[in-house]
Amino acid sequence: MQKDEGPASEPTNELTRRELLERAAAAGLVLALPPVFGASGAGAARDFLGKPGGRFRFALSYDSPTGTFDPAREVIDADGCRRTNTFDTVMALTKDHRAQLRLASLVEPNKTGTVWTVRLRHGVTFHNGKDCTADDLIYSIRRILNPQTASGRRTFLAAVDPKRLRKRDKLTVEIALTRPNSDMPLALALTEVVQNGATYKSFKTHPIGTGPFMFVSWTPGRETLWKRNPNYWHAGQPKVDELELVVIQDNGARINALLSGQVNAIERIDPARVKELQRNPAVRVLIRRVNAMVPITMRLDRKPFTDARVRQAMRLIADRKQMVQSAFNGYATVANDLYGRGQPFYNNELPQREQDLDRAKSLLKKAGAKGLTFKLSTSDAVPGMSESATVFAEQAKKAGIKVILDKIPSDSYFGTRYPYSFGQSAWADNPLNQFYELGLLINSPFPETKWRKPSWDKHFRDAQATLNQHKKKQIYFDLQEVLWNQGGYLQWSDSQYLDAVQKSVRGISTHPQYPLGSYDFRTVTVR
Amino acid sequence: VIQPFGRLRAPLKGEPHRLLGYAVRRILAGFVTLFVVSIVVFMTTSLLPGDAAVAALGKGAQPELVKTVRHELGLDKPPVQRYADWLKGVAHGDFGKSILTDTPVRDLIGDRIVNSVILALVAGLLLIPLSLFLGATTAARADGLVDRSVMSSTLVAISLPEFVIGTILILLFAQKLHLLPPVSLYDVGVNPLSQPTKLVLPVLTLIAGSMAQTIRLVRAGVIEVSRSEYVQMARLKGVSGARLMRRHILRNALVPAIQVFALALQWMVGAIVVTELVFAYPGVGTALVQAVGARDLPVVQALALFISAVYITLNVVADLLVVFLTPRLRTG
Repeated sequence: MQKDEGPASEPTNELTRRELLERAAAAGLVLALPPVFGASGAGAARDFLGKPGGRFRFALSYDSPTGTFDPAREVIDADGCRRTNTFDTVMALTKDHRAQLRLASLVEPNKTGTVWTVRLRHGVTFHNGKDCTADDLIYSIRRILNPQTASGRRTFLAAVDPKRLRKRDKLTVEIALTRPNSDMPLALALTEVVQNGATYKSFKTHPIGTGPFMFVSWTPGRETLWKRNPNYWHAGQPKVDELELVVIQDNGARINALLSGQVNAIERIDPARVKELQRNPAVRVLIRRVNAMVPITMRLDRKPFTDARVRQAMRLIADRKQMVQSAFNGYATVANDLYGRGQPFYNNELPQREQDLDRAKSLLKKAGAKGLTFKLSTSDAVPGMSESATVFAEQAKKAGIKVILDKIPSDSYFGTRYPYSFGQSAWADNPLNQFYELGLLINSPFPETKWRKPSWDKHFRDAQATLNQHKKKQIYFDLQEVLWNQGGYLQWSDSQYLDAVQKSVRGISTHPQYPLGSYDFRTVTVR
Repeated sequence: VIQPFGRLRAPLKGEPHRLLGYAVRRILAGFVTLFVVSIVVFMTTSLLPGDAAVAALGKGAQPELVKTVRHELGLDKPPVQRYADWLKGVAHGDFGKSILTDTPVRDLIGDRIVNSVILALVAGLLLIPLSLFLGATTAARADGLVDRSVMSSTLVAISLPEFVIGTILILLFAQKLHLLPPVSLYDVGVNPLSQPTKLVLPVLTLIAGSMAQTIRLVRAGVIEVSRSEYVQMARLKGVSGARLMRRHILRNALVPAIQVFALALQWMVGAIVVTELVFAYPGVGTALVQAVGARDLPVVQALALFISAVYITLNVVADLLVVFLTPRLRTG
């Protein structure tokens, strides 16, 4: 499927000429561009953007004493930051949610998609000097699959048969599946290769990976420090000598730290302050459209949402533009009740759903739900939740129904279960298939809407079973049409990550999973 | 919190050793209070929804995994036994290990406590002389220009929460005048006193919030004392100016002021949590917020116990000072 047998020089963050121009424009710089980009254009462009060396210090909005380096046990964003810079995944996600080779030089299925061959790159070593081999990859996959590891990635690798992982040679592994899965490359983009024998405990004291940065010290909940991995397999990466994660919870203090130069970059700036920061010549605001969302959820197994007409009515009540405006100050994109806008299999042929109060009223009337009172569970757990709920409740009045807000303290809103018939959830950016696997299948771990339709499940598995991209896309479009007509999510927006960096910071990647270029700092420069 | 003086008279009739006895009783009572506080903290934290296992596994973890991790962390033991284990450790000076990071609590919060104590001490040491001076000055010329301007500005400060004061100070000193850093980020292991410019704004915030109260109470005390008969007498005898203020008025106004300062310092213990958050100062406040979020009970308990210990100590010290400085309370 994907092949890269050449030396370790394949750029992971492809920077096209157009992107470079966009970035230059965003930076307000007039660049004297070299007339032609040759074969090594991307690399040259990066060098052009900044000099290597120095320390890159960035502030996240949250970290916790529960934080971890264990890539299989990631819970909070700061864990994602730690794993991304310390370890390498077999594949890497691109900004449009495709998988690209990273630690592997080859990832290839057999004709039926039931056996996948993964060959690791030559000459990759762990931070302690040991070679990264097939044994490490097999151990890493088995570790994720072991229920005792309590890994959230188990869902994506569920088709892998741990007993039939075969080492073909020093660097090559055959992964046999119990059913065909064409989404394996995306699952491998969430599979870090750890050292054979590494445990949750060893990650606490001495996390060792193959990643661009090496662990130096860690004060849980406060500070994480890395240094450059001088033997990194990717020539010319990483750029900076040191990497430091600090935590500043207060939104204002985070911006102040950036403005006073105490940190080089901050994540998640307050939407109300974007304009002010854009006027400041010392900093640059990064706005990234992603597939994160804070949707309203309706549970299909609880009345009155058992009736698809009620669910559709709710979706027709929403004035999405107004919700985006008041919840995010306009810094979000109106969504069409479907997850994953911009992804390869996103159904962009369905019309944008607009507010239609008359149709909503008549649907409610037909469903016998007229004059009902709805209790919407909300919270301040994630920005935008309670604000959008308040606006939605106002809009519902116009359709003649009453929505009462049940506000739950933010630290107890998301428990082990999601018990709300009518609530608000929060999702990070995921590839489309992974969102379905996590939330919409019969045995999904987060069945917030209790969608659970056997026929839909079967159809989804059909899509996974085919290696034909065209056929797969067709099935995905059908799956989404069903969701658009009957689903339990009222998805009114796609979020945007709002981050800010000092003018001197260059090379923040465009990956969408987390803020600040998915915290992937291998190409960042500060000079 | 402030005890009426009359209460102290009975056990203290005359004898110096009565003072010692009072001190011992007062300190013992402090320990009893601390013990009660530890039970209350333990009970309330167990009432919080979710626990360390849930916090560590993240939202939506599968129930059977939560069960496994809960067992690993010893959370499935009965609460009374967990509490007893913990208390036994504390009695031996061992605050236990953080259930989540598996490191001794002392290592985890030791430097945070030091940082907060430094912040509070610097603020306290500036607060006391400053409010005595301003309180006496304003009282000496009550209703004068200085008095009215100090009174009205402190009225503004008293009615603003710390995070607003902090933000105003940042706006003024950091963003407009570029004199001071707006955040107080310190590297791990760095003593805040080695970078004093980062301390200025948090200290000013703490002082601004508490000084309004202390100045007003010192001022009221001074005015009250200066109306007393013995001050009238001193005046009639020809004592005046600074000497009258220092020797006759302030010395007598000082005793009630001690309780006021104890109260102000106790307020500071609470205000420090918010102030630290505004300035991202690495102290107990930020540590406590994180530990509660992660349901890390040993850390929460150690911090709560520390904060209550500070409260109780301030109270005991203030009570003893009052008795020590008031001859009529010592001799009855």
